[in-house]
Amino acid sequence: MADWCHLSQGGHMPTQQPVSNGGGGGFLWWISLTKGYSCGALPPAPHLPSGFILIFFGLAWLICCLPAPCTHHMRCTGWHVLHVTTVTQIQDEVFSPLSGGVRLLVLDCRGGRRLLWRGPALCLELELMPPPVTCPQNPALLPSPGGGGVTCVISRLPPSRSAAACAMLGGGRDHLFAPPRRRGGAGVLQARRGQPGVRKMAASCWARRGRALCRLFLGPRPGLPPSARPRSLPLPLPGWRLLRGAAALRGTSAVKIFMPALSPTMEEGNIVKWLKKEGEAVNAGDALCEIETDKAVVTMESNDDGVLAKIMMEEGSKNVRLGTLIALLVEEGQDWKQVEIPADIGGDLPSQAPQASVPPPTPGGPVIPAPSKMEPLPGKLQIRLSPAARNILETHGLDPSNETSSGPRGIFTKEDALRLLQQQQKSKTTELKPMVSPASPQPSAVPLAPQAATVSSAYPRPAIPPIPTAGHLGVPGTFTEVPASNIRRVIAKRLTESKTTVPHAYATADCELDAILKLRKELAKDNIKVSVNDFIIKATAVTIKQMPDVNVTWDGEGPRQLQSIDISIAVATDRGLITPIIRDAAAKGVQEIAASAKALAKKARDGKLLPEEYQGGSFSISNLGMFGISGFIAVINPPQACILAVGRARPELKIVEDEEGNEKLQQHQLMTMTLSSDEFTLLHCPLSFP
Amino acid sequence: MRKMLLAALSRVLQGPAAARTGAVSEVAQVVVASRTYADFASEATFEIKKCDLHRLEEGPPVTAVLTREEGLHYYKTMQTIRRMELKADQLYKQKIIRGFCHLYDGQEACCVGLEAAINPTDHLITAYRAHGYTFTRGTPVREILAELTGRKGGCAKGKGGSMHMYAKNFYGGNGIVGAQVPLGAGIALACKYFGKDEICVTLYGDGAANQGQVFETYNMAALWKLPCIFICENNRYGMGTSVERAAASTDYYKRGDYIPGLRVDGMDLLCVREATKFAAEHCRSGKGPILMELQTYRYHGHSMSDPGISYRTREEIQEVRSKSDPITLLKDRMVNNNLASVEELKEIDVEVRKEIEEAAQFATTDPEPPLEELSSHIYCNEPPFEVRGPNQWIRYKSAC
Repeated sequence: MADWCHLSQGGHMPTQQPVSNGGGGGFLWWISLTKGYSCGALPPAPHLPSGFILIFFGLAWLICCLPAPCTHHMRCTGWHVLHVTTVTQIQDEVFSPLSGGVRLLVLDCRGGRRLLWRGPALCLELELMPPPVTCPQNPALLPSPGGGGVTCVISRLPPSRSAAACAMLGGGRDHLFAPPRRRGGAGVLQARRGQPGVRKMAASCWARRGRALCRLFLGPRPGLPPSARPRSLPLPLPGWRLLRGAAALRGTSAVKIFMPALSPTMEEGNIVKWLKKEGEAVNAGDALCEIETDKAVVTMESNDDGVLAKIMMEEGSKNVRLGTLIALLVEEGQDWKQVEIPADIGGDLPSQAPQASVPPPTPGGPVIPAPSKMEPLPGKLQIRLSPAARNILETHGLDPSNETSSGPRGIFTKEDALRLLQQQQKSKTTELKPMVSPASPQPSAVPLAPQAATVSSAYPRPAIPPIPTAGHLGVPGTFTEVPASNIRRVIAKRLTESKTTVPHAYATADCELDAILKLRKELAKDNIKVSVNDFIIKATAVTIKQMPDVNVTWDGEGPRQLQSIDISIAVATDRGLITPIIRDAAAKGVQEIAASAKALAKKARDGKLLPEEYQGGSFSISNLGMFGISGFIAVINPPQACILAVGRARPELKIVEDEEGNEKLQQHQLMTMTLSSDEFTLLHCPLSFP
Repeated sequence: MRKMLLAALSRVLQGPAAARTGAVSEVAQVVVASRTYADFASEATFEIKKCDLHRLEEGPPVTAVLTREEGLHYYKTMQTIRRMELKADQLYKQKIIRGFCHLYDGQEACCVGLEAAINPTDHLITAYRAHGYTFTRGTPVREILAELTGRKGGCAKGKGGSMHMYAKNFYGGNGIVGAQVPLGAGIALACKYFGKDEICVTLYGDGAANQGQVFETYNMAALWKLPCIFICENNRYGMGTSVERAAASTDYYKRGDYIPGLRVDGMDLLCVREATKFAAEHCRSGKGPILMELQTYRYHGHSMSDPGISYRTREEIQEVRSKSDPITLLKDRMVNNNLASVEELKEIDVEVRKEIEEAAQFATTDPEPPLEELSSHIYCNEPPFEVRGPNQWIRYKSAC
């Protein structure tokens, strides 16, 4: 059996054929532990169905079934699976006959719920971290003293190809496992023992019909002096060799860039533009990309020097949730094309974050089980319940995993269940008391993984089956779904809120424009170009100055009188309506107003407005005259109290009296303006001024 | 493993020549052939920028000696602070760190240079940009990051956050602008009162330098000849206002008027170190307080809500980064004078990155402090008493 436990030497082509006898299945499992650890004790033996191989790492169970399709469960008794990398892309000839690979399902067994990875794979790399504290379920399983974890690689390759594969993997092949012989009833897996000087472990497993017996070898193999190793090799240190094997599999390791929260309220953002290309060098502080938050377009900077290796979220990606991996950066000089693309696109930070926010129950304190429904969890299979106990537990949603069973052969009895129920009720009553209670119960339904991007918006869309297709045009009920930008959503929300909660009062008047038009013509002669709208802004501002009662906003509790007169002007952009502000308009000249209005409108169209340039304001003006609208009614922009809707100028004939009292017809330029005002703020809460 | 072995080997090989001729294993020979640590110079002398002086006849020296060990230590410390701050930035943007957070990246030379020039028994107090000093005063990175994320393992048990970290002889980040300056003078008074040969380093920013209490403190410190080094870390912007727009005189080292002052290049670690040594000597000899202005730069915005480019251009930041980055400056000096190799420094970078990763892992998985902790640590030596909760029916027990 030791024949197929060949160990290749660092960096060199193996001279012997490493594997001649691959076992009954015809495939090899190639397993490499790339980092040492120490392990206190064996986890409890699992209950295994027949025909499964068990690969035991001292901290994780992998039950692998051959041939596909199969299910793999991993029971990890308190260890975190930190990282799962699939290496399906080892594209060479070595693996090509196996395209598709074997199907693996990897579960995070700490919670038992989180699906880490599923799908076809030729290689699977697992990085396992010890729990930060001793596992409550299995106190014998100690955290490793160095705090480090274990990386193991599992791969499948045919025996005929294994020599080439070994060469490609750079000699990181430590443990070769053969699958069990299914016919013989006992497939034997044996691993090469640890090299001297490296604390590591090999596992030997026997998988037998429905039974598993595991044996663990720990520490260095005695009786192999260092001099026994070949001397001619330039890299004789085993640790180095082990790591190299993994590095070759892993590709260039990268710095992950996640979607940042660029505003305090941001939950998701759109990537407007990448300012760097893949392969381009990036210095710390360089602008990487433009991200549209719920408020504005903000530039995201790089924190690291390096080369942008891979853009994971293309330009125009919408509703990218916070913490999603958006790009990968490698160090300068490294091959950016070979970058390792992590399997968990969501990034490991966000997936850890919700876990981290749930404080573990304080030791000694009353255990308040989460009110979740019972699920058959892989981590709980070993608790055997009596039928009556099961009934009680399920009815009350109790979790028996932390309780001791008093029945024969570890059966959890009805008495145990009743005791647990009593305990829980007691802890509930103590919780109701206003005294200090430890760690309030956390809802267990905290979404662990980032939700699908589309369902989580604050403004849910109706669930109508989407997607029309060309060729079906004209069929009743078809439509095209247009993705809504954040800005549009905010606008829709705000306007609905305004129209439904603010009592709008309307007043319309026609204004004569002749004097303004005349003045404008004269100014144009002096090469001063101002629009009619600029005059309207100025006139409004001056009027507000005379009537400070109007210069108020509603802050939810009462009106607030504003000191400065800031006029918001509505600008239609591709993204939607936005209202940049002309500050202190009453104090500005018409020309100045014209200049700032022009600048702001341009910025708004480019999406470059800063938050302070569109937030606040005391009075809005919306002018649709340039589109030929003769008059309209606008919706108040809360918390402001008024909005003025301005139509186009139109010529009208009017009878006027000249100096001698003769009536005559004269043409006038008239403009319809409608003021929408907040009835409540302006009329029912009159301000008193000293 | 390999690195440790290499380091051990290099130490052996730097020793007496006998060891070199002795039986060195084949393994070691292979290693030595590829890495020749023994060739490095053990120290080098550098010219540093002359400080501007105020009411001083003589200033700090214009040359400084840097040994290889010191250089590597400084490099690692600065790199750790830089990476820690970048990690904090990342965690903040993941919404794992919340609330106030002021980052120190760009100013590393100040805290590392200062710490190199004073004794561990000397005292230090600073404002809310405190992460760097917390680290140089001996708090591990994991505790700082855990404090930022508000976890139990934080250096203030998860209850202080970014602005309130403390260590031995380090009186913390202080949240109120400029309020730490009078406190610093008080610490210096204690040093004088107890007759110890200790000094207090009191730091504040260019924004706080315009505070009234700072001038009151100058007066008393000078009057009582307190052993206090007042240090103004001038990073050119107080929040969003450049110093030119905020201060009538930007010569912060002259602001003490009757207190002697130094203006120091705060981007050069050696310059900071030599100037601080000089200032500490001044204080210890009983001449009273001294003022130092460290001209430095912060790469991040004032706090996390400041993108940092609305009052200064991106080009300005990039120019400082490329021309006078404190870490790059030290790196170039060490490499050009054969104090260290690029690969060696790169290895340190990798090591630091790993340490930060692990610290971040700790900071995100450590549990939050339990609710009972809320009322503990109010006084240091009082018997337990009841603390009123959010309403009068909720009472907590205080504990020491």
